[in-house]
Amino acid sequence: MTYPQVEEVTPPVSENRSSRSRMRRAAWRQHRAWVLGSLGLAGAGAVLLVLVLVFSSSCVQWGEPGASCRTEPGYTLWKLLVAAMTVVPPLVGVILGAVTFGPDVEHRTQVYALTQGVSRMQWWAAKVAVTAAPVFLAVLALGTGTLLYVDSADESVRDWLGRLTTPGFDALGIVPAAHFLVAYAAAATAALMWRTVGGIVAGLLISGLALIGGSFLQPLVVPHDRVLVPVEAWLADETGELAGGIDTAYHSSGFAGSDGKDIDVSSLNCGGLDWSECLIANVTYRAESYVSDSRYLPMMAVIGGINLVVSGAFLGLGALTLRRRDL
Amino acid sequence: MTIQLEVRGAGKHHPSGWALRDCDLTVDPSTVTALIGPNGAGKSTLMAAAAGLTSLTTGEILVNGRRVVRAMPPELGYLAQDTPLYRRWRVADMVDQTADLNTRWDAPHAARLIDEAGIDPDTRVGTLSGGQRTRLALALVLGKRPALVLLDEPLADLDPLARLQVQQTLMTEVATTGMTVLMSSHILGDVQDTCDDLVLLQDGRVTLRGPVDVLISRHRLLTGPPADPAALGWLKAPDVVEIRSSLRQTTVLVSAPPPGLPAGWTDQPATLDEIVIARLRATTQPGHTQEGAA
Repeated sequence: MTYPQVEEVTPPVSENRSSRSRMRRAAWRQHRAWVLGSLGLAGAGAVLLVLVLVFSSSCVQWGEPGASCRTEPGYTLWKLLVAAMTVVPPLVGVILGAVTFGPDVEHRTQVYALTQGVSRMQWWAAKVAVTAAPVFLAVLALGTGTLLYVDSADESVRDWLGRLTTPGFDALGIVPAAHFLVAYAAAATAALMWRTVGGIVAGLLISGLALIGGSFLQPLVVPHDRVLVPVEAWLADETGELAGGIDTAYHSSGFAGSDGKDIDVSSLNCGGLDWSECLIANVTYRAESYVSDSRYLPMMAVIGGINLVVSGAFLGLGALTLRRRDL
Repeated sequence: MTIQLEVRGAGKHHPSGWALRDCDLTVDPSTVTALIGPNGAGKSTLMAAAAGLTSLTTGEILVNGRRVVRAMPPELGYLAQDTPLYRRWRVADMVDQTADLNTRWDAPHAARLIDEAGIDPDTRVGTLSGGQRTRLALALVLGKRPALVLLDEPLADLDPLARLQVQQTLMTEVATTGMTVLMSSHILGDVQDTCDDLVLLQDGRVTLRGPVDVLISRHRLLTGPPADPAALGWLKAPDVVEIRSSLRQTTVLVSAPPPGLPAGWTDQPATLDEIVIARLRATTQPGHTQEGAA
């Protein structure tokens, strides 16, 4: 049997602002308890940051003669804040992402929503925007506030934290918010496919991988500085200070010849010489490389950017899944 | 507003097989059409495809000439078999949510339907009985003032009185607004009372369709002495739906009355139950004659 050609007009292409705002209001009505709870946790983090500010200010004079310095409870509160900023945003992201779509899949209430004159993409986008955006912005503000505090704090406070390395890196700036978004996106997409529990399990796995993978990637995404110290001077130095100062990280060291090229000292033939004499005889420099604190912002931008791209990929997969699946 | 639903060669294939196959169907404006068939016949699949919830493997479904593809046309209303609603919400919140999600919403109409169902707006949806939940879901569908509603077994959870009230609600809506209804049901008595047209789905295919009163008037139940089916040559084979023989008598359901009856045979009208059950039996039991799709 042959049929005449027909017009295909679906899904709706003209969506006015009022229909979008109505959909957002509907999504807010459905998810406000979870969103407000998540924002409450971000608020608790902000309170903790204020407490750190209050209690660590007594250490401003640290190290100066005659100054009295009390590191507690500021130090403990700071450790708590860093731990919370590292762990809580991904956990919140996992739970929030899973409950945004999981219950709708389990109770088939997505069928209710999608038979109310709302397109699949409208429904998906409104839910993601209403649940993820406010929490992302709150965590971003908290991470930025914590970073500004660290930047402005006394050196004694900065001693508490290496911001180039985990966990400090994961607690500052855009990174906690990016980790939140990766966890949210993975859990939300998995929940669309495998319900709430599947979303939580997948979200935990992905956010764990993001944290671990990020800590491996951090030293790889920025250039390392290299200093050459004459080997005699290095042998004579007994201070043990790190090259580049205390704010550096990812140190590695070796030896170099007069041309600056690395020399493998394990293959040196020292004959009857002791180790120091052998070094002086065969190498010119002690070579030390490290990542300096000046690389922090590029490192944060690259790692944060990678996390945002991964989040976007998961969200895109979720949208595609919803668009193509039978309900 | 009048609306027409047209199903052209619709097929849906799952890994386990065809849920719907070569399905052709037209639902005319301002009619009530019953979609009946055994479990697994494809009724819910067809409804979900018409609502844009399920894609078709073959064919297409058109609403007023526009193809439905993974989105429900705004002039449609759909009531799913399991009436998915937010169980922890209050009825009033559910109504507000539905009003927010739809560009067209008749709040007084929805409120009246909920009131008629005896549902307190402050009640949690999860505490409603199955019947009340169905009536709430129906009120939410009808509050949109749809031109066409797809009702997937809306009467299944209802007690006889509630069933009657829902039928009356639907009939009133059809009479006052010209709304078109496609509803699936197992309750043939209700179909006979309520529906203009009937579509019988079996194994994903339409095996019978037509106006209910025409189907009933055409089908006849012939009763005569015990006879071998081979001895019933006076019947036109295409008209024979089912032959049942016992030691005492032979009963034949035909889709068109024969011009004359041999001695000892009587002819009486068939009920809708008898027509549908005979057609269902004819496809599941070997040895019965079955007529092709009407």
